[in-house]
Amino acid sequence: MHITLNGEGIDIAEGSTVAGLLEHLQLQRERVAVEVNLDIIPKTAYDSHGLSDGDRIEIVHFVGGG
Amino acid sequence: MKSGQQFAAEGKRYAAIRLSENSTLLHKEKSAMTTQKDTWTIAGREFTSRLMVGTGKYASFQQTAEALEASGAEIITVAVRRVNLDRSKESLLD
Repeated sequence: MHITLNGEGIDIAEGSTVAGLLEHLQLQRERVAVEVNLDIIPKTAYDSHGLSDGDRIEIVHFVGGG
Repeated sequence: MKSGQQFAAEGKRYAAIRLSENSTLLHKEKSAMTTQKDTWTIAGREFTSRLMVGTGKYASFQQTAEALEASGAEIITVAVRRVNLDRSKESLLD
């Protein structure tokens, strides 16, 4: 299925979860925040939140500034 | 954190003012010792420090952490950026 990740289209396996995507990207879940279709996903839901074709996903982190 | 002078300006007299380790404001009024809780609340979270500190322009994450610790601030501001999808890098949260 096709998703948009940080503005770029990519293909991922059917049935992927947020946790699976982070693992695939080699990102540590403690370091990032994930938004799916404009909703922030709680870290506790990463394992259960399934991704769907056409989802728009943002993976962000925190840097100095603000 | 209020200074003794500010308290005097509010028309109160205290023999001594000190801050405990957890920043609860303690003051001694004449001979009686009383404890005054001086906090504020945002979205249900209670804070004792009113200082908010930014996290930009530091030379290193180590220096950032030390400065924030020394400031006593309970609220810091950060910038949110898309992650570099190439690989996981050192993070401010370390």
